[in-house]
Amino acid sequence: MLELQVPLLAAKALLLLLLFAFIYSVVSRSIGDLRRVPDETPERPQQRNGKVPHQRLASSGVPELVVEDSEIMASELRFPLNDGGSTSLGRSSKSDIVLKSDDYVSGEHARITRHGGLLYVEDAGSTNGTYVNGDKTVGATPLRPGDTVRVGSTTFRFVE
Amino acid sequence: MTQRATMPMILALLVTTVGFATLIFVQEATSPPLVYGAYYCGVLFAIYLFVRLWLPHSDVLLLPIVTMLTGIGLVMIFRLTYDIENEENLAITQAVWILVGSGAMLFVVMFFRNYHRLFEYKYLLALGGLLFILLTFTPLGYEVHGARRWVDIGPVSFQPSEFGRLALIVFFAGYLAEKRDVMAATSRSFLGVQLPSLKYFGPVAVVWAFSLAILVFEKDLGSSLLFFAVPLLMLYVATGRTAYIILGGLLFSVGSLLAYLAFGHVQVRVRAWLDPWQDPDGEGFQIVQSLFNIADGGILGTGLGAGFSQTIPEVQTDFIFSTIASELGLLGATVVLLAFLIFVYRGIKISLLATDDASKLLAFGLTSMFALQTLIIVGGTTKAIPLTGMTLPFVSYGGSSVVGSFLLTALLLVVSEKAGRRIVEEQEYQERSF
Repeated sequence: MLELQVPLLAAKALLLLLLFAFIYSVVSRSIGDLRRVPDETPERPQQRNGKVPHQRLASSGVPELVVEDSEIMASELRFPLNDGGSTSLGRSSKSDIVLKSDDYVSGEHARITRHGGLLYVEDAGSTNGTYVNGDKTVGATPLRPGDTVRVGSTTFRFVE
Repeated sequence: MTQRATMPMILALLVTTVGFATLIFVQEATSPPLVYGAYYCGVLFAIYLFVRLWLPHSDVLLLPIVTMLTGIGLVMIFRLTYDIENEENLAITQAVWILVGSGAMLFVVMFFRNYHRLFEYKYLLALGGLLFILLTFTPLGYEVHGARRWVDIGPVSFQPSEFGRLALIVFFAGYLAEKRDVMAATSRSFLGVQLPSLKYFGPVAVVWAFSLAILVFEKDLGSSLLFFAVPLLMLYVATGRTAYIILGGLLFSVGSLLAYLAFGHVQVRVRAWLDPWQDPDGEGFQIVQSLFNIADGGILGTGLGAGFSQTIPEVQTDFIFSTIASELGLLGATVVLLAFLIFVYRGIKISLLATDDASKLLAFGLTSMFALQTLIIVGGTTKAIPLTGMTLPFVSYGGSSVVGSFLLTALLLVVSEKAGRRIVEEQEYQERSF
């Protein structure tokens, strides 16, 4: 009886040890992966360098959207608008201005296009709407310098 | 996602080797032809290396987990059948199915790297999946234990629903990614729940009717539950509207109640779950034996080959978890459940990292199906929920199930490759711009 028990016990212990070694090696790799989440960290390059490169409302001549308040991006981040063609905003990586990891932004949320001398913002059939100066847009809405455009959790200021 | 996982891979193969060694040397089982073991180890390790090279940014932990689960499954199937007449070769058959599954996986990984092509054919895929499942109603289909879910075509017989549901998940991912914006739009709210327009409940109703049809005509409780729950979860994830979940829950309750009242085999399952001791030698036999075995295992288990789980009917398919709990004990069963948990966690993570809606929904749908399947069968064997016949993915004996699970993993791998590549590109871009 004893002759059978000892190797059985040893085999049992070895198998369980190996199983837990497996789980340990897998979990330790998963945890390393968890700590490094590249998507969720907001980009704050300016603050990290200790300087804010642009003054508020500074005019640079080209039309730009400046982040005023956002949960996903650093404020004062600037996005130049395509002067001739159209600029798309959305969560999809195909957008010109990508608002990633914001649940309130649709894949293709809004478009900014130039007609004549003015830039117009137009909602592209988003779920939660696009707001200019706090009002929900219906159809194309002209933008004047200083206007705010809110898409999801992000408020942009339009400067020219 | 670009770490190496050779160590887990080696450990997983060692577990299988030690398992077989225990059975052969300690329990004096007749050794199966060693060449199959060599094939198994060689093929899985080669696939691991190939995937590392071919999809360098894909999730590395999926394959070691798959290896560990299939390995444990092989050991258990061998242990349960080596001394049973007419079933001695079941472990070899399973090893062959694992090789077939690996081949299928390789095929997907090589030819569907650009899996977005699949979404373009989503309606065709849905139709194909449905027709495939409907094959069981042709003369080719036949019943096993009251459930008509088998199709026999000459040399092999298989369960079409194992493959059909993968096609349907691809369809739902593509469909919901297109329609999620309109389906999430709400006009009214009722008791604080925002209600989408009535016409968008149409798809929910269709899915519900389809899953009920499977229940009624195939008498397959488990598949019916999966066919209903997975699309509903995907719909919720796509739209974020609780109204769909509430309505789905109501429909599910009504459906379950109707099924309970109308079908004898559902009543048997519920009775055996509520009180298996009413009829321990008849209706409750399977569950009672499973509970005896789990209890017999205790914390450390009886050791491989020393349990008595061959008393459970269908032990190598539906009840393989009871054998694991019996012979490897609470600790061994915990390891297996943890492995499933990590697989699901990786799947959800792939879904979070994926770039577009369709890929996110695809990864989520596949993962939630995998998780639900595990939950339903482990819950069934431990008497936590009524038992429905279903395989434990990768572990249970069964060709369709093994090949289906390998295909599922292959799809997760190609999705994770795309997500991983994008992250690497972004990091390179950021490094360049500073």
